Amino acid sequence: MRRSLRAIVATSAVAAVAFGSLLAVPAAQAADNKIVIWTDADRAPAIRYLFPNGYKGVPVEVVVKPFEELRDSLSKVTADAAPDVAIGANDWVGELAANGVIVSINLASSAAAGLEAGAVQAFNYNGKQYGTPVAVENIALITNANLIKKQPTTFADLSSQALALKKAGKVTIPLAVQQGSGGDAYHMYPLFSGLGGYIFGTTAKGAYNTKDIGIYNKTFAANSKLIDTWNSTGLINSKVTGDIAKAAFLAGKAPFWITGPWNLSDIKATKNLKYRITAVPPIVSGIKPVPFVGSQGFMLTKYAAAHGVESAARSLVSEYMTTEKAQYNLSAVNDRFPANKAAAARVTNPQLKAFGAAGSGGIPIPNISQMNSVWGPLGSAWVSSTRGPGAIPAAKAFAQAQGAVKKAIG
Amino acid sequence: MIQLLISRFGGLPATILKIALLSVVNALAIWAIPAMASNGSWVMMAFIVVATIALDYLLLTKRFIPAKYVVIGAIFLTAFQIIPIIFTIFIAFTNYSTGNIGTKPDAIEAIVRDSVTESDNSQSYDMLPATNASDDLVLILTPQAAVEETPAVVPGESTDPGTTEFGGEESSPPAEFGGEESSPPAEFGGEESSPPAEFGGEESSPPAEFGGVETPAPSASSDVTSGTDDLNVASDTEPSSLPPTYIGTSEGLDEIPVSDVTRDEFGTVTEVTGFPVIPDTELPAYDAEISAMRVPGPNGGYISPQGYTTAIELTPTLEYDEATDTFTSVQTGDVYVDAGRGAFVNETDPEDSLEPGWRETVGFENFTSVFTDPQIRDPFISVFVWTFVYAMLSVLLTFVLGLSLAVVLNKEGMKGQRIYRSLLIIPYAVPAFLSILVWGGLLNDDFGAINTVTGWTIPWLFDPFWAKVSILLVNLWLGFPYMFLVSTGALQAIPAELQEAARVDGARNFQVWRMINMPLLLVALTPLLIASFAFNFNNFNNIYLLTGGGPSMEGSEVAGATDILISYTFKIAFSAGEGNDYGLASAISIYIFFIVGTISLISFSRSKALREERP
Repeated sequence: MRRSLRAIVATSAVAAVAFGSLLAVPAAQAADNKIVIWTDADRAPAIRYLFPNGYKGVPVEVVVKPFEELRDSLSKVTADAAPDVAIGANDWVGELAANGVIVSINLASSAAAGLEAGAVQAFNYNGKQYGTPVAVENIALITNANLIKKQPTTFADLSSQALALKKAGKVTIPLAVQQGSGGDAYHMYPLFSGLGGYIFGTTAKGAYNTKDIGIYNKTFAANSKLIDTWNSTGLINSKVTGDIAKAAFLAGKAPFWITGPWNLSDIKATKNLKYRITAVPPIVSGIKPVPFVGSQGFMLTKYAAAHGVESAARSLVSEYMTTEKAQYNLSAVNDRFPANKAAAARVTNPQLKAFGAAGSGGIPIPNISQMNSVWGPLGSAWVSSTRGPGAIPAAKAFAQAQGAVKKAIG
Repeated sequence: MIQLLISRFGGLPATILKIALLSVVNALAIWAIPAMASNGSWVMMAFIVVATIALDYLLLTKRFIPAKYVVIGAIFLTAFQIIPIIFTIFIAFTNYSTGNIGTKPDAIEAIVRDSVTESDNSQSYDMLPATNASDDLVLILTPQAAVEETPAVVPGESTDPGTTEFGGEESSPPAEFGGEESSPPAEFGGEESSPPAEFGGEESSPPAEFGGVETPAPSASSDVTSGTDDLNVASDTEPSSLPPTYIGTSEGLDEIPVSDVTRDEFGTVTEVTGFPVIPDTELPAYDAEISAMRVPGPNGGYISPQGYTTAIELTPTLEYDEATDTFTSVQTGDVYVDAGRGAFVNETDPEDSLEPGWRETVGFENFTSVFTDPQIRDPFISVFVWTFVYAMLSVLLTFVLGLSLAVVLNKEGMKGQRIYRSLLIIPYAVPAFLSILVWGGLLNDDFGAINTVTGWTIPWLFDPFWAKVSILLVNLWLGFPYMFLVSTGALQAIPAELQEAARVDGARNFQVWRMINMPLLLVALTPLLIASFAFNFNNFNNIYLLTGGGPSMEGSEVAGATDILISYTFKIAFSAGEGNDYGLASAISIYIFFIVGTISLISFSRSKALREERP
């Protein structure tokens, strides 16, 4: 009996110590209001540099998370741990706005005028602005200058040069674009748009018109025979995955590679590789092949109001982040092309500039949630029409994809 | 050894250990309580309080000895099995999905907050937060001059293929975007051809601004000033053309006589007599008040602060009527009502609903939609059949191979037996994740090692039939070592006397195997085979990492040829539709639970019958 009593006394003592120390922690944290910014690891140093003393007198706390994790976390986080400002990609906007997590902002017309109009539009959802773009990125055609002396100006030229190299046994993959069995509609988009394809039309108000699906529109249908030619000549092969494409190009076994700036460091690290970065040359006359242009930007969350920092956070997103200084510094740390035109003009990295030029005319990735229903069928259409022997005709594959998307969106 | 330790463990060290562990549990509970209270998870909080107290009592008394063991097991069972199942069932009856994640009040708040728009004659204001005589917040507002600029991008009509284009030919500076068509593109890299300064430079030395050549760290106040400079474009310094200055309150705008206004050399208002400006350092304390401020504006909207220094007049597009619980569109007069489906829906157009919606109970809708929604229903049968075939064949093939190897390697006195056994376990030791990805590379039709080395042209991953073969082969590779291990164990557990007795009775080798070994093996292994079936029935990794469910199946846009129920569910719920549909995913997982549960139950009862036949 005495021992049991002792045990109870000891337990309460230990519990009391734990209790006291744990209570002390939240008390210390809940001191003052602060702007919490969620960002990826690349950009964190730039943000810390920009706000050494906070923003407008409000301390700024930077929380680093993997970029892809931010999207889900934003919809699931509890109010306490929630950020006031977060960086995100433009194609998350539809989902986050539909979940009511992010708050619309108003970009002053003078500030908006200083940004790439397409990037600003990319953060527009249902006619409202949900973020300030700070970076744009797109894929481009990388050419091995050792193998291709004269940069092709038409796709036919590209095709004949590449196939000649393949025939001579110098290369294994004439044009490296990553697909794999799951497909990759994003990397195929320059070819898709170059044949006249588009995904959604737009209404007069500028919103996406999900009733107007252009995967198998008349222009594309008329040009789709070219895909069958590419398949039969082996120019494009859906069995090329990201790894295979990269390995082949870096080893000099592929003269052309369609990829994005995220592979620049590997390209630069390859010895004796001379290369050019350009847009994909025109496939049919009158249509410019354009890539998807992804845009990343800062968004204001609904939690800022509850945290009592909405005014400061709103100003940080809608005013400060539009500035040349902010965007130039962000661009400097993560090798993305800034959305601010003045900052873009200051970019000295020639490769980055070349990627920017190749993205000219590109269209934003649609940010509506219906886009989820497009990636799969469109990617599959490319896979089944370019799988070499046994491929189904492109006209059939893309007509099916069109039907599938229509059915899925309803 | 360990058993000895456990049986001898007691006395003071045991008591101390018990108290220490219990303290940790208590401390965790105490730490969790405020967090849960702030989330409003009252049920969980109450559960934790009661459970902790009960646990303390139970473990500190000398009574209830059996309960000390049972209760702890029950707690873990509840925490890791029962609560997730209850949540899944609960979610299956709701419309929890993208666009319906919050509560109705949250949704109403969000709709009200975001249903404002800048009208064509929206006026922007320079703003100075100040206080009035009674110390209440007021805003000193000066209209900004209109900015001369190119109109914002107006997207084309509905036939326009692209939506908005980045950097058109005209608007973009020629230095960056214009020249790429005419001039040959620059070449990068190469050893001699490129000057090292061009590439080495930017990597090694950070950009000037970032490196701190420019004096960084502006104080808070100079930040505000420079911000005002930038935004206050084209303020005229001529006093005659200066815009009027207003005091904004929740009542409206009040013009101030020019004589009361002090301006700096740029014409920016700095002070107004009678309304002391709030110093920059104190602004953060007013933040919530500033952002909540709504000043009725001259154009029928209200002037809303956009930070500490600017404000803009916004017009609501929707109005909420609390009495009728409806939203009314200001422009069209359309009425949006709560139709009981977790969203405000246009009375005349059921397709038109407001975002965001909220979580609402929808009854059995998620369960019935498996049968009524053609998008889900149509491929369901073939996916269902393949799931069975896949799980059955996976178990059968791995078992046959594993058992055969076990029998072969079970021969007594075999040389190198240990080495062979160790080698066979390797596929089991390598993380499955890695093996599957490696197999994906090996099986690539044109570039994979298998076709390249053998000279075959088998479309391993691109043909529906061969993709299924690939899946089974890879699963065989991953699964046979397990079957090999358990079979070896079971074989060695069979008493040698039984076999000898059979031989004495005149049985031949095969008869011994069929009549003695096999039945005894099955008694031991049947539960494991059933477990293996259930595991493979839900073996998401293998499918997802190897084929991603592909290649696409004729006539189905969601399911691929190798999709099993669980990967198909994942696709419907998380990637094919419009965002994430947790409700539907939960409903299908409950179906899968019942399917696997039924099969396991039948198998177990049959295997029990098998055992009872033995004397």
